[in-house]
Amino acid sequence: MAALKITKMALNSVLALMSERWDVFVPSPSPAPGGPSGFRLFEPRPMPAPGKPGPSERDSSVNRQTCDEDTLWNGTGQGGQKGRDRENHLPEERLPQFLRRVLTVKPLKELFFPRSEPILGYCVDGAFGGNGDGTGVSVFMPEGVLPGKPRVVFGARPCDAASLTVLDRVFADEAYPDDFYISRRKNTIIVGLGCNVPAPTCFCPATGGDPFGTAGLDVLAYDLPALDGDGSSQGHYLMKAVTREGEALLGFLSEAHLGEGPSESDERACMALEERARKAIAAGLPADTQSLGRVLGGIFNHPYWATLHEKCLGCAACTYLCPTCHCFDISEEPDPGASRSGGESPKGGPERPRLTGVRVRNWDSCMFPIFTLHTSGHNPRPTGLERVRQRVMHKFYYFPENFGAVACVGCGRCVKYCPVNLDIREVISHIAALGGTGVAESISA
Amino acid sequence: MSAQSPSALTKTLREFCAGLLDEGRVDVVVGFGRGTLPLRSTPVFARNPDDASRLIFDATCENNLSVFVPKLKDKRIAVVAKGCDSRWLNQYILERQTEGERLYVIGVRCQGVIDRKKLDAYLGSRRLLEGRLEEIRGQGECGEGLEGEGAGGTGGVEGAGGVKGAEGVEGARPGPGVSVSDGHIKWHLEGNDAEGRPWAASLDFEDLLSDSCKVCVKKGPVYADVVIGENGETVKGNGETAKGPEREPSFDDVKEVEGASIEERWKAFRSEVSKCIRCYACRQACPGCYCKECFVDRSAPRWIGGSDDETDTMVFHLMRAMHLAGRCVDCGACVRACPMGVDLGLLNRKLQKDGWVLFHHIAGFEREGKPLFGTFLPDDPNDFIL
Ligand code: SF4
Ligand code: SF4
Ligand code: SF4
Ligand code: SF4
Ligand code: SF4
Repeated sequence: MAALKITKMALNSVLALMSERWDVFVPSPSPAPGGPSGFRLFEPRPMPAPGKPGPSERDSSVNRQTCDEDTLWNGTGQGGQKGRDRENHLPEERLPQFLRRVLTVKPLKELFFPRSEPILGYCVDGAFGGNGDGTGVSVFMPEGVLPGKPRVVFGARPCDAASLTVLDRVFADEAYPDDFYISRRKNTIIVGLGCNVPAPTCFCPATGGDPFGTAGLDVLAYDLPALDGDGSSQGHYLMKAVTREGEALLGFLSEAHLGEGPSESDERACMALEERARKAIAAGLPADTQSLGRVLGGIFNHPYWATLHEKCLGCAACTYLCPTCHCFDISEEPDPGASRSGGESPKGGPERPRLTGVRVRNWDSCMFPIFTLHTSGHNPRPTGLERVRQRVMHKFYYFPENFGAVACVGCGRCVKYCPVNLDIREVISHIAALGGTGVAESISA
Repeated sequence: MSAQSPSALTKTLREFCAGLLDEGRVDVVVGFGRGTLPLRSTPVFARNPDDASRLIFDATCENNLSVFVPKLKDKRIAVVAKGCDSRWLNQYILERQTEGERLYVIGVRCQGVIDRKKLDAYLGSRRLLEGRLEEIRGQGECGEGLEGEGAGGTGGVEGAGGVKGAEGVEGARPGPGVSVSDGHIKWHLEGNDAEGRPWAASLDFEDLLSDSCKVCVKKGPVYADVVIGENGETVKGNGETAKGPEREPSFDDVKEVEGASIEERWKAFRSEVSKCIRCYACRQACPGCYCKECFVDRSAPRWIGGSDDETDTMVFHLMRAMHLAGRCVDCGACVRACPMGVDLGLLNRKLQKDGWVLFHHIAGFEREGKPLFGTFLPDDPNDFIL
């Protein structure tokens, strides 16, 4: 099945059906007021008993009523606790509405390279073998580390999907394959959602992306607005398969009669959406990033860095939220389940864990002062200058040199969430301008 | 703010700072400039008179600029300071992190700053392409806000300079800035929606106001070498620091939580910190977090783990708040910096309340003496010791 059109009202039924075979992840309403925070497991509602109003009828009334953004906001702003709870527990009916917010706060990488991930468990009290005499150390793979049930992500933006092709170069590298990442990549089907109206912070085309780009996707969905007389109150999703896995997914849905094939006018509507989005995003783009490396190679010692870093606070908002940032740190942690209850461990592990630990891989950030701190006390990147330079160099010079792609997909998260508005688009344009003045050549010469 | 547009302030600010730099009285002015997105500002470091033309001041100036002081190597530093920024400058001197002579405080009277997360919550799937503050001129109502300040438009400025009326101003009325909450200033927003259709809206100033600004006890600087007023006038400071807040601190939000059962509070705390990704933007944005090595980064001994384990995250939040006890000025910079919407304000304010109720202490009003936690008196309240 190459393409399938569903009504937005049927989205819940579609996701519920998928949930029977896959763990389905969708962008989640924010823990804070202000947009989805990350991806969460979709929890299907119980289907109504026969004779009761069907899901689509029920949904339509809810959707019409919550379509207005102000309704969503009422009682959620003002920073009130109650308001937050409300957003937190938005009913699934509102999902199509939420999907129109452009990006989650936390990037898609979290589903493949989580914030913290146990990679090894151990027990030092002789249990589970050890030395065989009640002493010694046993090492095991924590349970639940390698995903069991295959997954579907619905509603990832094209930039987030493209970021996986960047991460693949690191974690699915032939020389150093990362089993944890690869196993998750292999068992996940990604249904993307094209960006009808890119956000003011979006700049994917400057990194080789596109608001309707298909890199990293198995299916690309188009959000078709409701048209007079098309019988939908909310419009449709038109899903087009990109890979064979995507085709199989659409086939599965169409077997359940959950949609229909697209018409010619639907195809025209898709083209129109693509054109409009490209035109809109073209207005505010920084310089193209794909040739920045040429300039960056020559400006390692340029005074630009000294002025650039000055306002940077040195947090990890820009790197933790970046879909392509992939630095990690490995730490040894006590198994929290074991230490608390002496019983079963939530992070996986044996039934009788005592004196057990987990080795955990955590996100790390080159913006932290201790990132490159040596045991000796020496730090090759002692100040913000070296650290901000590293972030820019890595994304636009070292990574392209090593892997043949820029390590930025133009999602704009770092632009939006940097507490001091250190805008990477400005940095890109400044650097391009330095190249234009020939400063790069003169310095490297 | 009540009579003229904020650009009068900005204009004077630019001229004044250009003069300061031109005369070589300071080496750098740390201020705010226009950001790259609607309703965003960005810190600016002006080192020559031309740079000063980038400076602005308005309700988008959300960072606490004093955070940069310990990092700067310049000999003499001017800081554009709201009330809360100026309180941290005082605190730095009190904590011996810098000398008073090194600082030149350019005080600005602040009406409160924006919380971008509230804006995002309002926008939902709409895109914001333009935003500005609009003054809705009333007939006569403006006078209300000025009452008790004595001298009309400049009254707030004199008070803010640290002499007259800086302390105990007319109960809960924080001065001219208050007129904004009477509906005289609105946020004007424009953009397009998820289907590309244009929209425009006008929101009350309070709707997007940072929570900490709603309970601010000192909107003008506690100490200033010069104060630039809302109408662009400059008033020289007299080298004294304000004696105390201009209104009684209110802790209604804390009291509400204190009324809940211990289970409810525990649940609320857990759910709040569960959003945290430990990016430490809160720590980095706080002027008080200047430790060379934060306890979370220490490896020998290792105080807390580095994963997203719930217990570790809770320990981080409790320790961070405790390390700011008696020092936090409730500027809200940490809350605004957090990308995940963790409300650090409540813990901060609980500790402020304890400081106020038990010791009648509120941070940032002293340049000399000892910090709250640096003093011990035999008759200090000690009921909490079991
Ligand atoms: S560097 Fe910024 S814009 Fe680029 S991918 Fe990362 S977060 Fe997105
Ligand atoms: S950066 Fe591009 S792909 Fe990503 S959300 Fe914006 S328009 Fe969509
Ligand atoms: S650029 Fe911004 S988000 Fe990144 S470390 Fe600096 S202050 Fe934090
Ligand atoms: S803890 Fe937060 S509110 Fe208190 S001084 Fe630091 S940044 Fe300001
Ligand atoms: S800024 Fe927010 S998410 Fe980051 S460490 Fe602080 S509370 Fe956690």
